[in-house]
Amino acid sequence: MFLSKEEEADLKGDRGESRRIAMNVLTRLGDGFEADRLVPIESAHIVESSYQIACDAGIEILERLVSLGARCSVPTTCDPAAIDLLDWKDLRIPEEYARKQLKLAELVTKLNIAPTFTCTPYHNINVPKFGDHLAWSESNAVVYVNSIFGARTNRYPAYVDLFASIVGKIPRFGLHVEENRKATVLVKLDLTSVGDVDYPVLGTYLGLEMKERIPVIHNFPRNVSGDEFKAMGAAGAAAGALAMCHIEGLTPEARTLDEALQGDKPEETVTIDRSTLDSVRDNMCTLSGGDVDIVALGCPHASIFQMGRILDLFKGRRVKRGVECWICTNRLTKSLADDLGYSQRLRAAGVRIVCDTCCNDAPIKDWEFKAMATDSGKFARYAPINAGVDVIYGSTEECIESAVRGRFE
Amino acid sequence: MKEILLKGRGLTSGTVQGEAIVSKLPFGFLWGIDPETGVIIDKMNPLEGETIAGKVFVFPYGRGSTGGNGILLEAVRRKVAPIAILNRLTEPIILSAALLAEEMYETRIPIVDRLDQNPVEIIMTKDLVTVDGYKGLVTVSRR
Repeated sequence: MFLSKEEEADLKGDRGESRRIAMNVLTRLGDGFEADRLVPIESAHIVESSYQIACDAGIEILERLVSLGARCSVPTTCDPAAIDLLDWKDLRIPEEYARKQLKLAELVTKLNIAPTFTCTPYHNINVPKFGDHLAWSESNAVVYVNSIFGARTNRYPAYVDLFASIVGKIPRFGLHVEENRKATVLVKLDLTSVGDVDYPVLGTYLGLEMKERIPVIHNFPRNVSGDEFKAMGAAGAAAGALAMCHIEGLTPEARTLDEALQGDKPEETVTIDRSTLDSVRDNMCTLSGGDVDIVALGCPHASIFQMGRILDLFKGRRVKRGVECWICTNRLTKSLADDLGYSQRLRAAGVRIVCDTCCNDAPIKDWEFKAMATDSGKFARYAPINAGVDVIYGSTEECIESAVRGRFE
Repeated sequence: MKEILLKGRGLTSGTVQGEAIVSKLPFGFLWGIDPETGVIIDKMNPLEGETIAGKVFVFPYGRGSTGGNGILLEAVRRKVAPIAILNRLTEPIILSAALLAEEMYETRIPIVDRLDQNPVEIIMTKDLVTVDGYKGLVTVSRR
């Protein structure tokens, strides 16, 4: 990989030990993936803010970087923590675990990372432009920023995101290179209508079927909301390794099918109809219905508009006694919900607003939940592992009905 | 004693010898191992309950959470990590873990990928494997 004189100096440690460590890992990673050079990045988003991922090693690594004076050099946000940083006791998080996560959160701010603790920074805090190079690691966010903004990032692992932010550069390989962003699979939607419940199902299909390939989707609803697309990308990234999908007429690099395919013919063309979605949806559930004791919403983190819609769907009713209903979100959205009076009304309806974390990140096995209803393809994929529950996937409306009745019909 | 020589691409250096543990399935470390013990906890993997600690871990490629390298690093910290990794194709989650293990824990985990034969087909669990990460050479001995 070509390095400038300045980058060589970083690698030798001329500009400090933390830059040397960062540059050493980045250049060796770049060599492994046949990058030709480093490119400047506009922003980073890191995942090692979660103690679930960082563990004690992560605390040691961030402590060392802080002691060396490391600081992020580009706008950098962070992923959810593994606890609600304020109300962790209500989430039944063991004290020792909480203490370590709080330590990690403190280290994150010392590195000059905005303590957003959210998986949806792209909605309001860390918003890329078309063509920006980024070093982002949260998998749903990677799909979102590549596909909606036409920004460029690979699915980076923990620490690579941070090192890139310290140096302000990333090796140019994979999705940073225009030719590698070419769609090779044409996915035609043959659906008369697409509802909110369909997007995570479609995402799951793409995650399972595309493998490493990039699709372009024809006939995709132009009125898709940001919240619907984020749910689709999250499901795709969790089910497989989806990093981007072109939407014809919506992705900046896919104004036409031909543009997304970069002038070539697709290697494969597939058509998705209602029967495809029905069979994928069945596979997203470990139960087809019945009693539920946890209803989990807000994966990815709920937006203020989703919070308002959830409140409306309760229609003044309450969560059934003995059932938990959680909306996971970030502290900024929670603050808007407080100001709008949503938080108070949701609490009155028996809903628990979980901040900074979610059902995938927090250690919630001690709740001994048996059956979860969720409107998230990503929760549906991971909750059986993280929380040890059976799962039923449904629309937001079906989930609210389940919360009120204690039963998914 | 049968011996097989494989040649591939060495991504990280170090020479080690140890017993192989082979997963035919792609592997994700988050929810894949218990980082305190190195024991495989993924219920979907037939190797559930086996340990990767001190072994040459062979799997086709990494999958799952981009935080998987954090889990592998914790295993390094607790000295229950594999001593080498062989993949058909290594991806950034795995490579970055080995690079950080060197920088932060002075632990070398040689990684070799793109071998001239598919390692998950050729190598069997309990084979004795020598890995030279610098040269990208793998020697497999079977009793």
